Amino acid sequence: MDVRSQISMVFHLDKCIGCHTCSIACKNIWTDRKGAEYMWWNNVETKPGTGYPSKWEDQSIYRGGWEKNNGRISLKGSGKFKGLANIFHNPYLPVIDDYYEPWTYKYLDLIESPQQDDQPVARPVSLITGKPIDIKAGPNWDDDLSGTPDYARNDPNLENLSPAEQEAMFQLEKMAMFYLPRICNHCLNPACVASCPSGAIYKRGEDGVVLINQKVCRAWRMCVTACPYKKSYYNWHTGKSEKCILCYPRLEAGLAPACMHSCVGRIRYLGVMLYDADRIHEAASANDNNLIESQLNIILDPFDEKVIEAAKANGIADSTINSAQNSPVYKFVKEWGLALPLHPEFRTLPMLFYVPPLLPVMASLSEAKNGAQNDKLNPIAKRWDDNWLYDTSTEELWGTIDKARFPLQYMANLFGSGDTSKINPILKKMMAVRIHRRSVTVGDISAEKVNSALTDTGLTAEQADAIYNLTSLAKFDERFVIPPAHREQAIEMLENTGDEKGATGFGFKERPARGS
Amino acid sequence: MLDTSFRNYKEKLLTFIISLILIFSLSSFVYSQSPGETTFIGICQACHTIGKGKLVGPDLINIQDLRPESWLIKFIKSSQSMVNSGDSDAVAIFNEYNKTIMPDQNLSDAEIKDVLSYIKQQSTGVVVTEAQPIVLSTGLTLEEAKSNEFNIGRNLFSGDQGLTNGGPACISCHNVVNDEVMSGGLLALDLTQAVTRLGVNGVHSIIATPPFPVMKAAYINHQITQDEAFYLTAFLKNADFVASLQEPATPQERFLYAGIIGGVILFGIYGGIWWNRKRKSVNDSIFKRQLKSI
Repeated sequence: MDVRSQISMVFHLDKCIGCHTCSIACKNIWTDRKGAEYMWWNNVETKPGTGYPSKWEDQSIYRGGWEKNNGRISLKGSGKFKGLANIFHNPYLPVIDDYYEPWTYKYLDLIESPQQDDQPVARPVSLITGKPIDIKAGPNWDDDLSGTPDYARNDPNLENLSPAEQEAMFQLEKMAMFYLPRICNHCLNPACVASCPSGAIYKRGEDGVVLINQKVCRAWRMCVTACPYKKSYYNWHTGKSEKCILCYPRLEAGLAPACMHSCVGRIRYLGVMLYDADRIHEAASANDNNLIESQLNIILDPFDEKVIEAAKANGIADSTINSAQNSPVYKFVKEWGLALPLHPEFRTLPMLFYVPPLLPVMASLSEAKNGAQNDKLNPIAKRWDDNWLYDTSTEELWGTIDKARFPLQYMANLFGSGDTSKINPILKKMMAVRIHRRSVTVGDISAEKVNSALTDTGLTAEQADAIYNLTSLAKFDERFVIPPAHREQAIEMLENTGDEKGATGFGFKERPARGS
Repeated sequence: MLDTSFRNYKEKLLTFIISLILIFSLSSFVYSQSPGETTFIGICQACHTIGKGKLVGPDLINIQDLRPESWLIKFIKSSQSMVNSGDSDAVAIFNEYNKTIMPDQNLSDAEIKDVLSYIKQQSTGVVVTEAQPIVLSTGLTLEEAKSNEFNIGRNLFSGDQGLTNGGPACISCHNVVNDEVMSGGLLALDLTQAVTRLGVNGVHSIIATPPFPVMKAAYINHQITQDEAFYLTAFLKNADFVASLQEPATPQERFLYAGIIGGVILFGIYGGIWWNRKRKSVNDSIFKRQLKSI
C-alpha cells in the first residue's frame, strides 16, 4: 500500500446556476494575458451541448485519453510511438475555431466619437489579430438556449439514446438543460503527463496537483491531444502549454481556489482524499462496467488505522490526515456515494467528482396514444398530434426518476460510462433526502412513506440530515477543508532552504546571480 | 662531447643543403628550351603537329611558306575576328575544320615570331607522316577497343574510377548523352559529338595535353596518363557512335517527371497515413452558414 494524498473536488450540479462567476474569477487571476485569451481553465457548459472546445467528449475526433487493447491501456492519440510518429504533425489538435476566437470591443470609439446623427458603436475586434471580426462563437455560445440544433443536438452524449428519448429531451421546447462547470480533474492517471515528450508535466507529490513546468515545456502539444477533457491549452504567445493549477499558491496559503471561493451557488467542495498509488494501474485497466468501482476502491478510508500508519510512513503529515478525515469530498464520494467522476471511460481516474443533477422531477414525459383522446374532441377543437404524455403525478416514489424529463441514459453517458444503474441510486438518494426533509419541515408526508424512501436507498435519517446540511447549509470551512501545505517540507526535499532564503520574494523573478 | 656531435650534425646539414642547391642549378643547364619551343609545347601542340598530320587543327609544317607572317600573327591572335571580317583564307580553314573555333591566344608579336621560327626550324628535314595511331600501352589500337575499354573509359569519365594523378573527373564539367552515364556538368561543351567535330586524334590530343585555359589549369598538376587518354577517347568515340540510340529525353525533363511522379506517390502515402486526420474545425459548417459583415 503506497498511500498518497490528493486534493480532490466535488461539484454539486443541482446547485449550479450557470452564472460563470467561477470562469471570470479564474480568467481575472490567471488567463487575462496575451496568448491566453481563448483559454478558460474553468469553464461552464450548458448540457445538452457540444461544450468547449466543441465536441470535446467525442474522442473519435480528438483522440484524448486512454484506450484498452488486449487488456493493456495505452494513450489513444499520443504516447511513445504515436507521439514520435506525429511529433511534427499532431493531427488531432483542436484549432482556434474549435474553441472560439476571443474578442473585445473598441470601447474608445464610443468615448471619442464626434457628435453625429447616429449612435456610435463599439466594433468587436479579435484579441488574436487585433482586427475587426464577426463574432462567430464563444466558450458557451448556446448558454441558456438549450436544444438548438447546432449545439445541443450535436452533443456527443446523446449517443445510444433512443430517438424517443432524444425527442423527449427537446420536446418541451428546450426546457431540459443543466450546467456543467469544468476545471482540470487533476487525474490519478493523467494522460497529459504520460504524453509529454519533454517530461514537463508532473503530478505534485504532496497534493496531487498536475502542473506544467513552463521552463521545460517545448510546445509539442501532445498534452493538448492527450487530455480527453481538453484542459491543457497551448499559449500561442509564450509557446508553452498551460493548464489549471488548482490555484496552488492560494491552496498553500490556506485559501480555496478562486473559482471555488467565488462560487455563487456554493456548488463546490474541496478536500483531501487518501488513495493507494500502487493500484492506479489496476484501477485504470478495469473493465468498462467496473471502472467507477475500481476507482472508488483505491480511495482509502482515512479512519482506518492501517491506512493512517501507511500514510505516516509515506511522510503524509498528521494535519493532512486530519483534513482527509474531515473532507467533504470523502463524504460525498465514499461515505454517501453521491458523486461520480465525469466520463470515467476515458480511464484517467479524474479526481473531480460530480453530484448529478436531480432536475425537476415532478413531471416526466412518456409515450402515449393521444389519438383515442382526440377522437372524443369536437372536430373544431384544437387537436394535439404529438404522442407524448406530460405526467405530473407523484403517487409513485421512484417512477418519475426512471422516466425523468432528462433521460437517465444521458446522465449515464456523462457520469456512468453509459451505465444507468450507476446514476439511478444516486438520484433516488437525493430524492429520499428531499422527501425526508419535506416531512421534517412541512410534515405533509407520511412517516411510512419517508421510512420506505430512506430504507429503499439505504440511508439513515442522520445521514439524510448530514447530506442536507452539507448540501444546503454548509459554511465556508465545511465546504473547503484545506490542509496546511507544509510547503517548507516539500521544498526541503528538493533543495537546501538556506539557498532559497533571500533569493526569492520581492523584486526577483529569477534567483540573483552571485559573484562575477 | 655533446658540443662536437652537435657541430658534426650542423656540418652535415650544411653540406646536404649546398649539394641540393647545386643539383638544382645544374639541372637547369642540362636541358633548356628555346622560348618558341616552350610556347609551342605548352599551347599549340594540343591541336597542331609539325609534320605528323592533322589533329584538331591543320599540320603546321612549312606554314611560313603557305601564309605571310603578318596574316599568321593576326590569325593566331584572334582567328574569329578574321573569319567574321570575311578573310577568304580564314573562312576556308574555319569551314574545313568543322567550324571549330581556334581560341584567341594572348601572345605578343615577339612570342608569335618565336613560335613561327621554331616551327620553321622543326619543319626542315622532317618527313611528313600520317598521324600516329593511338595505342594503349599493351599495343591495343583504338579500332580494336571493345566494350571492356569503353567501360573503363566510361568509369573514368564519370568519376566512378579516379584518375591516376588525381585530376577531376570529366563529368564535373562535361556532359555526354549516354544512358550509362548520369548527366554531367554544363560548365564546358557537351562531348556527345566531340569525335565527329574534332576527330579521334583531336580529341585524344586535347585530353592528353589540354589547350583550353580552365582545363589546362585543372590538369597541369594532375596529368592524365596516356592509357587514360586512350580509354577516354575510346569511350567518347563509342558514345559518339551510339549517340543516336540513347534516350532522347534530356536529364532535366527526366528529373521533372520523376519529381512529379515521386511527389504524387509521396503525398499519396501521407494521405494514406493521415487519411482520417482532423481537417477542419468541428464548427466549420456552423460558421460557414453564419452571416458575415467583413
